[in-house]
Amino acid sequence: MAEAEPVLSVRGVSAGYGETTVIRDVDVTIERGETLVFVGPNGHGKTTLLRTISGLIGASTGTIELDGVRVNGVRAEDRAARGLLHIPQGDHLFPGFTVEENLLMGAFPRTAWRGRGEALDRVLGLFPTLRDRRSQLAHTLSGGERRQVAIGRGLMRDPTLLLIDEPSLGLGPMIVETVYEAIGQIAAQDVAILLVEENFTHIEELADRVCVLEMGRVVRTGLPAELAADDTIAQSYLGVLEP
Amino acid sequence: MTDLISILVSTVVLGSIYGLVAIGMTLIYGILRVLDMSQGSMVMVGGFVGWAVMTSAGLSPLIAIVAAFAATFALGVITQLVSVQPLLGKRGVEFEMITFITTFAVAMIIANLALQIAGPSQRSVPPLVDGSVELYDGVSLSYQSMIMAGVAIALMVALGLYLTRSRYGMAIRAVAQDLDAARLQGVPIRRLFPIVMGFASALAGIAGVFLAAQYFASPSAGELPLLIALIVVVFGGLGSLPGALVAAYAIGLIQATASTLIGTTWSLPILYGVILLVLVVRPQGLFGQAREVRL
Amino acid sequence: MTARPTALRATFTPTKVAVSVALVILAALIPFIYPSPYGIGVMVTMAILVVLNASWNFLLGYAGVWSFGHLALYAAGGYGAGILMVHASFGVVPAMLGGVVAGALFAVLLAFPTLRLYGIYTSLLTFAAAQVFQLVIQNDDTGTTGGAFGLPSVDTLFGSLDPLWNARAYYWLYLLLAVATVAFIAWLVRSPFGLALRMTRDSLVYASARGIDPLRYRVAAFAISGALAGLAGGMYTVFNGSIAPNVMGLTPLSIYVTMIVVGGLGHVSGPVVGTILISLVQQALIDHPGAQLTVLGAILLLIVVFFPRGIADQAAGVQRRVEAWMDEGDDDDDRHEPVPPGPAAGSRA
Repeated sequence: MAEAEPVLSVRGVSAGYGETTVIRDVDVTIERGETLVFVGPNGHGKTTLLRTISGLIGASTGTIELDGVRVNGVRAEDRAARGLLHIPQGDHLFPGFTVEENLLMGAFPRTAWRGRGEALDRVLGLFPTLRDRRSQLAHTLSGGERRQVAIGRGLMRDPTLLLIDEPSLGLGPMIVETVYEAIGQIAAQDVAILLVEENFTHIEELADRVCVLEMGRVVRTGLPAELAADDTIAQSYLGVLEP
Repeated sequence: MTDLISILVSTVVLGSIYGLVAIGMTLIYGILRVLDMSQGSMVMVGGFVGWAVMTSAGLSPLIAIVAAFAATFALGVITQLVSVQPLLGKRGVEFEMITFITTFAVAMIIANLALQIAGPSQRSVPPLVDGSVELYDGVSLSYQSMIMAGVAIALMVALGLYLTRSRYGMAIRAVAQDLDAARLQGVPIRRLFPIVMGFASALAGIAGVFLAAQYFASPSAGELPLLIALIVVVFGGLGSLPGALVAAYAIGLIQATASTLIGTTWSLPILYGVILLVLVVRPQGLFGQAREVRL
Repeated sequence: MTARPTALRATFTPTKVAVSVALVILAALIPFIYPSPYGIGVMVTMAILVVLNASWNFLLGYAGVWSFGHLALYAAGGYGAGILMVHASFGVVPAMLGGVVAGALFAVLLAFPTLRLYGIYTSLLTFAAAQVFQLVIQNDDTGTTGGAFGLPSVDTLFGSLDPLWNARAYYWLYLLLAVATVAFIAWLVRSPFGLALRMTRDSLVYASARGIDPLRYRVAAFAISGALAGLAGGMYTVFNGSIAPNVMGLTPLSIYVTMIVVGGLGHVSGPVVGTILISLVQQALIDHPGAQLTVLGAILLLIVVFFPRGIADQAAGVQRRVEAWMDEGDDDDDRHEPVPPGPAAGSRA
């Protein structure tokens, strides 16, 4: 039986903004159904990495492959059409759209569009608060509601690779539970996930592997339990307190 | 009273024509973030196509409108591909300023080519439809005016429906709100942009046929519509379609009133005065958003 | 050696000064090589435009203000000087100074409404203001400005000389003014004022954090730019003996924008390169006046799409790459030739 290509293969990638290089020589591989979590200090390139993979930023060196196909020159909108789904930091909702319209945009690709009715029902079922607010304009929602819409929008289609940037940022614990339940459901469907997160409680259950990104470089990779046992990392990034 | 009716009639006619050009312009700004200075040329080209079809070829006004639509749509697409598309995502350039200049350059080229090919003289164009209805004491409303207003309003309504009810219409509205988010949902912006600009230019082209029928076709026929379109879109709020619609009739009203009561020479300075006032006091216009305007 | 201020030192490096002086001397000799009053007249106009375009480039490229009403400042200076001469019997030089002041005043007037406006809105406001200015003058029946027909019978200089020497005199005087303007701007952009100004252009947040008040700098930039534009206007009026509202039209606007953008926004040499280049193109097309705007428009488009930062920027890039290549060569030599110990090594000081 032939070995399947990794869903995502990033080799030697550097990227940044203008003259500034933020991530350097990064290697990442994600197999089908795997959940990989990136941790590390703020401002050290986790968001930049996701934006480079999704195509919002161009990589200055290295290769990025989706399902074995090189996508370096492929634009973000085309990568999205190929099954890459990026839920960015800061939500990026469409402020003048209602909750429902925002969610429907998640089903924009033609194949997803046909099933949008069902998808909408499914997502509103996952996030009951949104069901009550479906005709409300996005810019009037609270932070937690906005995050639910952002995640929900990502659930409107079936991606092959899901990039999520700090889903629990700024949220209260109850909503974080709801959000991670949804992410767990996606993970159960064999979707490859690259998650950037600070909240370790959920990382341990969800992650197959954890990578530490420091100063734009991958400095450590391993199983969640290994990294949790490593005191320096545990305290700095994972919020695990010394017993 | 005669004056009032006359003003209202002018308002409807002018407002509908301005609306077509302004809606195109504000659509282009909202979606592409380009202040398209070539919209005036599209009006001019539309007028010439209308003249050519109706006068030279002697075909019906309907064909003239369709031909003008097609010609200016193509021209708009080409303009976008040449003067906007290559600048998308380019580092080290101020996109909005540079595209202001490049679309301005395209307008320069088109106007000058028209001058070379057609000569500076004004070409009179037969009215689309003959006949009129007398409204009140010598003030008549021509059937042509009614048709123009009707077509303009119908087009604007159709556009509104498309934008709110269709998949790509929603995608276009999404792009106007958050480009990156739209891209991440898979919206093919590089294919969308030329089409949006083509369509907006085509609206101006149709306005051009109307203007030519009302007045005449000439290579310089695009200058005034461009300036007035700028005034209308700023008044309504750059990027806002309802704003452009309302502002078009408002500006039509102001111009009609000024022309009737004070005389045509002062109508343009007054309009400019209005726009300067708007830019100083409330630059986001009627329906624009303040946060996008201030430094 | 006395330490000179950093800005002066950076601007007037020996190479640059030498090259510039050589070019200026060459330029000054041209009226002897081509003794034609018409040809020299064209170059006089180029000198006027260099001053105008340099002033506009300062505002547009260095201060980052998207002002498209610059021709109103040009006209303000030109009409200012003209009116002072015709109605107030000023002499030529005082009148031109009056033009400078007029340009600066109008510019400051224009600056205030744009203070808080984001890019494109500034363009619209300045554009509209310029249109209004033009319309007001065109419809002026009072005789102050001469309305649409223009202000005639303005005094000129060097009237006693024959046409050839008249043209040459104008040329050398205006060449001097143009060189002075460009040198002034070259110094200004590297001075603390210029650096702060560029900071407000590139990053307002950072500038404010450094205690730089962007508003004051913008007004100052407008004033300086307006003063120089007013100077150009005065130069125009004095040379032509008249001025009319069509100096502000869309056609001149298109041409001058082309000159600045093709030359290179935000480069001191940009306006010079652009003005000369485009003027040459215009002269080449002198027998096909109709094609002029089409060709210029096409050039503008091509340059913007392929070299959006203009020719001067391309040239600077090439220069950088050549220098880097030459430096590379030096490194290689060092690596491949082992330095022998002893006196030879010591002499490599």
